[in-house]
Amino acid sequence: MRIWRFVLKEILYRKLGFLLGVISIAAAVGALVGAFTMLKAHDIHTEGILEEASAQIEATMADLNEDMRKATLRLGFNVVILPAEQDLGDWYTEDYGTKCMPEDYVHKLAQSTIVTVKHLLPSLQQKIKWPETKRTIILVGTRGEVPNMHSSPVQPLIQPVPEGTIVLGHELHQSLELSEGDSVRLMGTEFTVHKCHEERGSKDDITAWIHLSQAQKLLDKEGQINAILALECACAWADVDKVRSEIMTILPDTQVVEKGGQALARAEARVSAKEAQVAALEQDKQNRTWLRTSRESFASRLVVIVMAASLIWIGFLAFSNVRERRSEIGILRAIGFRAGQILAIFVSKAVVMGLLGGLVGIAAGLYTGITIGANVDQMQAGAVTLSNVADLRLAILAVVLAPFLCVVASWIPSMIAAGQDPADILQQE
Amino acid sequence: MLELKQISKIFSGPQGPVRVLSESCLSVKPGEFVAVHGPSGCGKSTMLLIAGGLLAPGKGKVLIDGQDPYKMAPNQRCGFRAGKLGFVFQQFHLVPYLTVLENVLTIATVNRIENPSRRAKELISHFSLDHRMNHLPSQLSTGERQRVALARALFNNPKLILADEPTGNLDEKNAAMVFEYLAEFTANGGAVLVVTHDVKAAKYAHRTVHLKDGKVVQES
Repeated sequence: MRIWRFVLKEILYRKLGFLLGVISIAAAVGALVGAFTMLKAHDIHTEGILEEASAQIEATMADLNEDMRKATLRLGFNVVILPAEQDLGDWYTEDYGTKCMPEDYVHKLAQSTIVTVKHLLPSLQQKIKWPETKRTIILVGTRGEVPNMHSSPVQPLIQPVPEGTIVLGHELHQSLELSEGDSVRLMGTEFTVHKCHEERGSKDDITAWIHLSQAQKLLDKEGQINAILALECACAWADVDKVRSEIMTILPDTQVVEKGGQALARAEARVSAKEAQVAALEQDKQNRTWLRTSRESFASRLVVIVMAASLIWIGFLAFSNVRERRSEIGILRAIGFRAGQILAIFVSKAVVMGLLGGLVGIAAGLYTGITIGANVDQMQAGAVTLSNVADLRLAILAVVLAPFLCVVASWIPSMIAAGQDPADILQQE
Repeated sequence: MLELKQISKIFSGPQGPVRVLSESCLSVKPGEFVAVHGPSGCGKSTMLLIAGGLLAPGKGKVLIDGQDPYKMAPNQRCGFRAGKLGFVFQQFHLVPYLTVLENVLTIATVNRIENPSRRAKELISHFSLDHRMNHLPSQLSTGERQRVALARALFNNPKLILADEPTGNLDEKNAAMVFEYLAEFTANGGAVLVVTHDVKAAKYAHRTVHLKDGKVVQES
């Protein structure tokens, strides 16, 4: 008969004690594996949260860009192309040019290979007296955007004013008590009110927009324009000198003026929005890190307590086992078993107990860690699975550690068993 | 086979040292059945443990088959016991989780014997325990348990069997059976030293030794 037969038969004979030992070591290993699994589930959840937050930031930023693009028609990283002879002092004073250039310039630009300019908007602006209403207004003739023939089509920023119609600024339609669909005469020409703008708090409030061709006719400047607005030139961070250089190459007798402050404002708004989102993401990260640290700290304390309790319990069970087996130890020693063989019987039992407890503990720890981890973080079903939390190295460690701990806890009782004097036992029994 | 020469043993008790054996001498020859009688506390069991190499005497010399087990290293002494001696106790001391067959085979763990299973089964059959071969000790009667203990003691073909009150828990019929088996062992050349209160042992023993206050006072 070999030693293992004594071990296995005794385990089967005293099932309860062995089972209690297995449960105890399983609890210790389970606590360890469960804690690691829960932390891993936490990390997976954190990763998900941060990925989602990053995606949300990207989506928000895309929405923001679109909103900004629409909301800042007049802003943007825009330049105004003026005739070369235009006095900029006059242009700044009046906010429109007094010198004109051929309308054909805009076509030259549109047909060029210029890529930095997305939207081209020719206009003819002039401050006039509205004879019928005896008011000074800014009349803008516009034909909408001229598409760039060599770049990808983009959504127009400004819709053209249909011929025969007029778009009125807030102050104008308010004071003249006009609304969409009304008819109004301007310099002897009948117009239908196409649109009435909301208050903008700028010169736009006293501006009237009509189709460019009609404006040219009314102002007696047919085929002429006095400005080309080049909107959304490249991106907000583009180098304006590059834009200017490209335009000047195509239209050498023009000058290019940047509406820089507005572009900067938009860029800053974007940057600021992104910074806020990134800060929120960083805050999320910090919160999750803090939560992880708290859980890690709790788990480590729990694991230590459970392990200590488990070791004490296994030690107690081993002591009880030794007491219970005194007679057996006595007779085995009497018939010739060496102390080392008695020690081997008890240590082998501890190894078997540890191995079994370790395996049960790994399974229980994984199940508990996955369940608790998913519930605590209110994760969707299936977000944490065995395949993404199972750690082979941890499992190997647990399988090695459990028998080792079991042997450590049982060592003193096993040594006592091995060291018992058979004469003492046989005399007392 | 067994020689106890001038054996003394003193135990330290709560009320001072207690002299259990005092310069006692005893010998058992091969094929001899020796019974030791005496009142409780006279040192019978102590003498048996000393004779079995389990308890070193304070003074004196023990020779078993010409060798002094107390001059051997502990592990060597274990091997010596496994090879030369068989033990039978009043409480049987069977391993509770092993079957009858496994209990008899126990000594095969420490002593190499050819065909251990066959030997064990022969002994079990000899003691009329075939139908109990796969039973646990808890499923046996006391007489059967003692027969298992005897089978275990004989398994390694010992030269000397040491029995401490082997009939103490048995009825008359079973007690007689145990003594008969021991007598049979001596008839085959083995030596037996039995410590007992049972006066019927005298019927089977070649020699009866009376012990009193740790001294051999009479031999008959």
